[in-house]
Amino acid sequence: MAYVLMLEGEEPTVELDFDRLYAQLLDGEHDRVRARCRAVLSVDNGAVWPHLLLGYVDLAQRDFEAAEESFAKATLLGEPLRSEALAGKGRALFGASRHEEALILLRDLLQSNPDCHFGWYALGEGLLELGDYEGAWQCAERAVVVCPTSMANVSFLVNTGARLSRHAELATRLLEVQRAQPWNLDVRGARALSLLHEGRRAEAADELMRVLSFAPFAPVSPTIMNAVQQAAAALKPSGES
Amino acid sequence: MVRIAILTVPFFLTDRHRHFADGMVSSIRSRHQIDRLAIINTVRSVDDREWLKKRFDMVEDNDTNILARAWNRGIREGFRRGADYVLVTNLDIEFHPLCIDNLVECATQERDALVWCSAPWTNPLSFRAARLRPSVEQALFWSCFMVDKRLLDVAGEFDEMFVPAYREDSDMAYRLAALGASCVTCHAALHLNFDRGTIKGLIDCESSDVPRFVQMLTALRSQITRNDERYVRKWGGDPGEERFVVPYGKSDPPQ
Repeated sequence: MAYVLMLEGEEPTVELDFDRLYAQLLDGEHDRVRARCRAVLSVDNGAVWPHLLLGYVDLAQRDFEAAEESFAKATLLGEPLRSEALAGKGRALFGASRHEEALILLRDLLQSNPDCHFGWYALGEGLLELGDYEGAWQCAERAVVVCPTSMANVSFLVNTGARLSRHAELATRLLEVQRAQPWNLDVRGARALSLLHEGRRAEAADELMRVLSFAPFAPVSPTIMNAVQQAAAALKPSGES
Repeated sequence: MVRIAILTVPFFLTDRHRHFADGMVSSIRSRHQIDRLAIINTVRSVDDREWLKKRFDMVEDNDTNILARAWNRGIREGFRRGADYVLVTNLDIEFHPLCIDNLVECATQERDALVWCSAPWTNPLSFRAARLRPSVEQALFWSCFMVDKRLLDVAGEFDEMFVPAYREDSDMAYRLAALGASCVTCHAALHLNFDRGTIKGLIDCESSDVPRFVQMLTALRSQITRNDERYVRKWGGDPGEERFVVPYGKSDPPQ
């Protein structure tokens, strides 16, 4: 239609369909995403972006060989999706226990594109599997600095930090994340728990109260909610119901 | 070139609400003549008013905290001031640089439609790279929609009995559907939708305000339930399951 005006100098790279399916992928609707991607490929064999989504679905279903193949095809995408596809391939290689290949691929990727938070996440996840907790923590920090709005990055940071008992650093990093998404009750809850570990009870109590107060009106993960409820109960003076 | 009134209804209880509004105002781009209208539902201070006056051509108070009333009044005022179209938008959105102009172009091509909607986009990371699709679909998204003078003449006003907000949009949608009116969403006119900006803004409040805002949200939830119930009474079912073709199943609705 004549009324479609394209942005000058900005070649669009992402289809609406991709955006919607990506959201469904994050919601765990794997079968739906796979079916849609296959439908797209059946009418457009040259489409590349479905392979990236298929890679994630394969990864979630632990079919690492298929995931590697899908991500490899997706590396034909333009940036930043190409880097994301390479990071996905690294995760698939780790999943298939091809650790050396994965490490080489991801370190090369991050050398050329240090702002690829998917790469830091993938490397951190792999290092964690190899027992390098310190390395994993550093990758988790880098991933969250580059992209503080990714909940995958935040969860990885929280899990790694808790495992290493790096509560003070975790609280600091989560405060930065909180500035990027101050409405996110999961982030506030996780930060409150790390503050509590550090003995900063007043700050922790303030955040716990906020999470509990707003929880009926905004999403909170069950894991965080349970932990927040337990922490809040433990903070109450004895005798208070 | 046409004249477009952009109508918003500010509801500022925290800095975050104003921050969202700043993003919306800063993203306005158009080759057309723009008239910025704000009908205030809630602001905190003189400072908020001054902030609005610097960014809007007309700033007035809503006489009561009812969204439908602000929309009715603002739409009428926009046309009184000479607008060809009134674009009604939430404050927790950002326009794609081509959103407004493509929406106007859509309106000139889809002349039979009574409402032209901008398509919402939810991922900030991919928004600027989003492909503008040359298509329209019969769908309504009320976060950012545009009308001309025919809407209120043909379909009537937004129902101000839905207090303070919620379901006035579903009510209008059903009335438009009952009229057989065309309402289109234009995929070449995108906006980034932050979604639930009111609650997100409240969560980011000062600690001392938490109890007050939680109380407010609790009251709001009851009001929304009442609006849901009123909708069912008015149309005989929830949205999508209506049974009446006239309000309350009668030809003369109760006052």
